[in-house]
Amino acid sequence: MAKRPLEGYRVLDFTQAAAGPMAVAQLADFGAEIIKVERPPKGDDTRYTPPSFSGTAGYYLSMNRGKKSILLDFNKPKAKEIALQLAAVSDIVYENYRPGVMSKLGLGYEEIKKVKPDIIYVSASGFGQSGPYTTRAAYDLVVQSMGGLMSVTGPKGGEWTKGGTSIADLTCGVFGALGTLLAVVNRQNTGEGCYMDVSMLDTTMALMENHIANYLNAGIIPRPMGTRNPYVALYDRLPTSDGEIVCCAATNPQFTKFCLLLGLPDLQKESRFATPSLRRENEVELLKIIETETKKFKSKQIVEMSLKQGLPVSEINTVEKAVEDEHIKSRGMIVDVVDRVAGKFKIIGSPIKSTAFEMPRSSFSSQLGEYTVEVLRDVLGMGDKEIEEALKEI
Amino acid sequence: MGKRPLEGLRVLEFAEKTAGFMCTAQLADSGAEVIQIESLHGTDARTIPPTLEGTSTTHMSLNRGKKSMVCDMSKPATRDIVLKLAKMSDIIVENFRPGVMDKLGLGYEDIKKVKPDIIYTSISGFGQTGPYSQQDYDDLTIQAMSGIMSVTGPKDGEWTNLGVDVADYIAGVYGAMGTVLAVINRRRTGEGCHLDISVLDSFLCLMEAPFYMYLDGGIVRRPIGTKHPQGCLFEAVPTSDGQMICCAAVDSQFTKFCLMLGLQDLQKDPRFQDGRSRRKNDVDLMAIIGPETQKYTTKKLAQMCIENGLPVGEINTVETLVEDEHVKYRASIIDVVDSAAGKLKIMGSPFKSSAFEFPKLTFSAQKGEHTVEVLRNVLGISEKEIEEIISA
Repeated sequence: MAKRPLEGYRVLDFTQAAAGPMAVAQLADFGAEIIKVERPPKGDDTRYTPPSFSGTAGYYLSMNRGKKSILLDFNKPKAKEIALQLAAVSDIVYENYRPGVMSKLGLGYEEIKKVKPDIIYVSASGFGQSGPYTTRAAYDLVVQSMGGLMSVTGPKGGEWTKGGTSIADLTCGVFGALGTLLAVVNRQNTGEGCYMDVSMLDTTMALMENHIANYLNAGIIPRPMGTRNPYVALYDRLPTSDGEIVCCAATNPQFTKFCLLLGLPDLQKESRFATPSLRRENEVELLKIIETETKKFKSKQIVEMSLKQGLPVSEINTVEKAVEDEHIKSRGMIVDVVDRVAGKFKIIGSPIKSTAFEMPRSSFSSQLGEYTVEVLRDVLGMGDKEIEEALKEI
Repeated sequence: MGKRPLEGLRVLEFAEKTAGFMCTAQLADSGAEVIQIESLHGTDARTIPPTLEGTSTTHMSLNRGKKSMVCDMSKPATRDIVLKLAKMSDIIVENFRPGVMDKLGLGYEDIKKVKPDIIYTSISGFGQTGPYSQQDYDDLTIQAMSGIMSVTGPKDGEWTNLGVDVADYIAGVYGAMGTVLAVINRRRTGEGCHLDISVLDSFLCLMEAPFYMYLDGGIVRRPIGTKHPQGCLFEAVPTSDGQMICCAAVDSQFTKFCLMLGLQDLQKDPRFQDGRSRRKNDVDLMAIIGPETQKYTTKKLAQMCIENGLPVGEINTVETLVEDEHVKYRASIIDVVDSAAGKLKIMGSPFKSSAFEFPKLTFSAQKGEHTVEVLRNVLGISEKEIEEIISA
């Protein structure tokens, strides 16, 4: 396999927590050299999120795979000088401080542009670099709530809830990586860098796009529906003799197949169940009939039968089961990450597979400041004595 | 403002599901010319309710900025035309079940013969390889398989999925990311490639915390509503007119929060001294805090928290979200013009760049609206020939 597309690119990473590190982790997957700047004494807070192991943590390992950690104390002038020297030999700066913080540190876009005119400078933040909420503090939960995601998530008629993972943070990271690549293409086109402003609220709204279009244009107000589809049936969870499955048999051909499989060949002939929307309308009666039949089977049995018919049906996995799944393993979605002190751990792999380049099947994680000396020596070309001096002043 | 980064690149889209549509929507936003190849009855997105003048809002949103061309794939002449179009294109995005495009004679190897440096992005439920590759999927089955449902829902309540097609969307964004990455690669090497994106793989990337907590720490997670598994206060609190999200799990934040409510002695109570004890005793804690937060309206409490630098979030619905002053200021909601349904509003690209501007106005196409235009302008076919092709 050939080189990965971003090999030769250097990213100066001033991010912490999740939304920023997630984006930069993907740039590392794509082959870029990442220098993660952490601030003494503790570095990124995620190093201490439980479960943690000898100076690192699951959270840190996962979001900071493939990054070299260096320590810089921005209260010291020499540290800022070194940050600017590093920026001058980097292609991309990625930061996720609250808007205004990097400028106050003397490391905003305008300052970096002076030392590196074609820099690609990406700022990820909770609410973006402009607008009334720009300086408001954001956590994943805050943005899931403000982005409207909670108002459509939860059991029907029940408590509104958030997605059980940091969806807003992570989505901002995924879009942030895409935005960075677009800026790289733009630089290839024009020779010029640019400033990119990516916000957690904007990117969460990108996931809400269907609800937004339906409300703004057709006045439809969405609320939590559990696993139901608001317009069509059968598209829901179903009970079995030993648990539950989800079943997507909403179209007529799918529904016919599913009824046959349950021994209910005449069900679709009934006028109340003739179309996906009629089935939705008469869902209570429909489920009464269907559930009596599905309860006769074990989850595994009914999933197998459905898959043979080409129906999208699944058991409801827990994380414990998902990580053991033969398909997930065969796709290389669980990879190793090695930390020099804490040892070898497992994290999620890259979802992009290509015939031209290969994503890493294993990666490394670094202890706080593990690469400070190497970066000063190899990237900035400092001699041993100079490094010794610098270490006292940064 | 300069050109958008993908201007000058042409994309042929063969999609039938949300993930494929989402992918090319990102490419269209970024400036690529996207030609959607539809069957005679059109993509399923056109029939998803609600519809306005026969145009689905889902279609307008997901298929913004794409030209539509109708092709009857059962006719041999159609394949020739599609291959000619592929020769004039840079990128193919398809999201059929693995093998379907090969059977149509339009697989990666077929296209590579007419266009050696093609970037060919396949998005499927489970990927081109592995035991499940031939299974059909829907967003709900992927969410169920990923494990997200086992950590989503009220505490001790029903496990639920996220109320958006998040697995499909994220696969679309990863598909776009992979495609742009392949564009960068092609410029360096002169070579195209085949990309294999799976909806399940993509969504697993949003499973981060529960995955590594289990894989590396043996910790099993279950739904806990809006609560944080380790820290507290980090959840919805009641107000006089509703509820609101408050995040004051760090000790210094909790101190500020208590002071703000006039409960300065609360943190001295050993039950509430740190995040973990507060989580353990969260029912007792909420019994004390709830009556205090209920003295204020959501708006007032939000204001107080913001003044104290505490992260706070109104629980928006779609209706309040689109009216929000900040959302309006960011101008992320854009106009889309459909030749039949008129001017409507959709969510646009979430990026802001100093070098190029994402569209503030775009279009959506009726089925086959651009067939003639594409035959004429891209393939240079004469009017007479076009007439013959269409009548055949």
